[in-house]
Amino acid sequence: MKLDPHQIGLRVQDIQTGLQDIELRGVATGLMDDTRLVGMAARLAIHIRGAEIIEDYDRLTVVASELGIDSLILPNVLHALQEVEFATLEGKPPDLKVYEDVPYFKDIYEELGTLWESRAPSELQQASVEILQDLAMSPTSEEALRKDYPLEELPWSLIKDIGGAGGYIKTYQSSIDNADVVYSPLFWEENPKAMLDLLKTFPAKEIADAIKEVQLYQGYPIPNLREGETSRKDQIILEAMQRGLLPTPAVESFRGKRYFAFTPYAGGVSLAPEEKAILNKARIILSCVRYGEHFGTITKIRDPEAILHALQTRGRIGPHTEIGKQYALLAVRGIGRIVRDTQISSRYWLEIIDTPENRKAFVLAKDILVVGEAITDRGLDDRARAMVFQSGRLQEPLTTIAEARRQPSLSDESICRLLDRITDTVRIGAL
Amino acid sequence: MKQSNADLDLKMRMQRLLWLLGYYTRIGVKLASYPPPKGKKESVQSALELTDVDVLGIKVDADLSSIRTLVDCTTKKSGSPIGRAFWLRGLMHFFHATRGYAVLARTIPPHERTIAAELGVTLMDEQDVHMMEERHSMSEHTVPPHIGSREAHLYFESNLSTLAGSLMPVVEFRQRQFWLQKPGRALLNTIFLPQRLNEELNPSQKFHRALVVDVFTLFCLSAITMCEHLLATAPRDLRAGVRMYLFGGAMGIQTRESLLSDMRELLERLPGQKPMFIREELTSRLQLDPPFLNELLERTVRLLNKPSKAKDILRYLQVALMEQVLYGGPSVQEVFGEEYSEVTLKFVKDLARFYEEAADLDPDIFKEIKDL
Repeated sequence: MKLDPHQIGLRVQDIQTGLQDIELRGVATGLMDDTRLVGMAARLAIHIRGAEIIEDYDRLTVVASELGIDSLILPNVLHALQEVEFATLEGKPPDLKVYEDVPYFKDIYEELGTLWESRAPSELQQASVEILQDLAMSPTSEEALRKDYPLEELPWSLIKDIGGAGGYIKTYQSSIDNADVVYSPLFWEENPKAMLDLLKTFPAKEIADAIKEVQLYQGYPIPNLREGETSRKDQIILEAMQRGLLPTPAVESFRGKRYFAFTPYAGGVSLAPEEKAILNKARIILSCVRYGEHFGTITKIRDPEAILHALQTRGRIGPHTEIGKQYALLAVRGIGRIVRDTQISSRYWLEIIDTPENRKAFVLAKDILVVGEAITDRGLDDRARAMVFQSGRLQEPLTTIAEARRQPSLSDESICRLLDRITDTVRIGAL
Repeated sequence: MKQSNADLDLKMRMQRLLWLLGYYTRIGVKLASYPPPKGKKESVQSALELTDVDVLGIKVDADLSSIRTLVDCTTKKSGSPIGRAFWLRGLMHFFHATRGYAVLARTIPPHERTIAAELGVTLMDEQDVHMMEERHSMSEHTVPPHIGSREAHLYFESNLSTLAGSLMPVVEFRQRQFWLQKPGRALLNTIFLPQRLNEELNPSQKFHRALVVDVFTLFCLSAITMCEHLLATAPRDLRAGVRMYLFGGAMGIQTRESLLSDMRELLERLPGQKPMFIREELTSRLQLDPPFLNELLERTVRLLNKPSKAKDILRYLQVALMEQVLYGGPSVQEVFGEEYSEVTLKFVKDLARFYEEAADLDPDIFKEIKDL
């Protein structure tokens, strides 16, 4: 396995979030069990953190169902949490008591990724997780992907089909020249044609390497073509930006207008509009700081994390001459105010407007800067979490009790292959 | 200081009263100081006792702020009540107490009571104590049988005083040094001191377990005091806030880190040392942050998130020590009845587990805590 436990933990949660409302039946039964179980554990962990003791098992069942964890599987999920020492269980359902100890300061994804590895997941699951991580870096052609993952036809089809049903792997084929692209909507905006065009211009591996640069340095300053030759990687990043595949906020200050690229990954299968707004704010905040880091005229920012930290803890920075222009975008977006210094009129302060949304945006900006993607409260459903901490009996009727579960549809190709395999087994015994 | 039987009886009565008023209590906390060494060859001597506090009461509120109350009891007839009140006021200042009770076995003139009240001191004679017991329905409300019990107190303290000499530093610490040291340092020492002596602690010995539970209680007191500070200063970065508290502020951190950095540089330049050895020692040992810092943060954030459940931790531990460890007596659930909280008990157990790992103690040392 070439991924580290932290990456595994993240991708496993992504897969489970995608498959939340999916019932894997028939040939797909049991194929993703370890991955789904650990993914469920990750989601449940962040929702119960801080509850200390959960005595109302019925309430916990309701909360879990909101997260796509069926009541039948919930005990197994809780045992998984116990295995990584995020909870201690006492008794049995319906009298089960949960003593919660989900850490605040430890990497829960690393712990859960290690748990997933310890379960010796099947080749199909390992490939699913690794492929998803690869697609996070870049869309690619099916041919290139199959070269990297020389799986047999059936597992390959199942990975595609299950991924498709879960919404985390998609394939697009051009009707003009039959060229195809495999991508993950978790990480890339739904713009497969643009991806296809990019893949025609550059090899998938080079695209992945270039995108990795952006992921490792979110708010990547787009090079100015007029300022000399650009590297191959920068050319790819420029192309991706021009095709609308990378969000690139622009900041204008003393050194002109500059663009800063981000990978589109949002930290979830789909974001509600208000969550997207917070993510956009986070990118704008980081873009302004990056401008100061790369294009400051009088002084350059040496430690962007310290700037974010100062804004978070002190609520303001300054006074500095460049603040007025460099952070003007924050004022436009309601994130901060620019205030002239009372002593030196050519200098300005940036004061943050303290709202819950802006606070979340700063946390996200720090995550993106330090980790490369959104981590804090990843996949958190505020409503489900509120149910954990609600006092008294749960009165609200479940309006979604009878919600229909979607089944993944197997392609005709997969069904035929499976039937052939069954027939062969009947004829000649198991291989 | 030698105490008479009558003095001790008064202290026990006041301890029971304070318990009823919601306090965690300690008997005989010493106020001591270190004399300077007499010559270059002499090391610092043990702290010399100046006086002691008969009963120290600590009451933690739902926001983790605490009220301290001192009680002074004397059956001596000499000395003026108001003189005693002024003396107690000075002691209250040292121990950051806001209230004091001076219990005297003599008549107290009314005008002296008034002046004492201005100092935050209540002058009481035996009749006043009796009336206070009536007022708080001492006979109806149960105080755990061994809290405020003369026999239990003597049983505990006399057995501690006869422990092996190797454990005396811990015994001394709980009585003297803890109350002298700055809060951050005191917190760290509640862990480091038992850790250094962990091989001397035998979990099969009841009074070894009792000693550790008592020092652990002081750790919890320190942790709660730290939480009070954190809630008051509300640092956005909790890790930075805790470090500042433990190491004496930003300057304290800077001074210590600078010193460690200089030591690392010195070791790197030492001739004859194998580079690998040096590298390993430097990285693992010369770090300001103790290895348990992350876990301490985990425990702290939980106390901060549920302060109303954290406030009774000290009282639960007092019951654990005086009832369970010493006598195998009633459980905390039986003692606290309707006021019992399972979350508070969870905090006690989680903190015990943290303390056991941080101080590298034998798991059986907290046998009674785990069975609470």
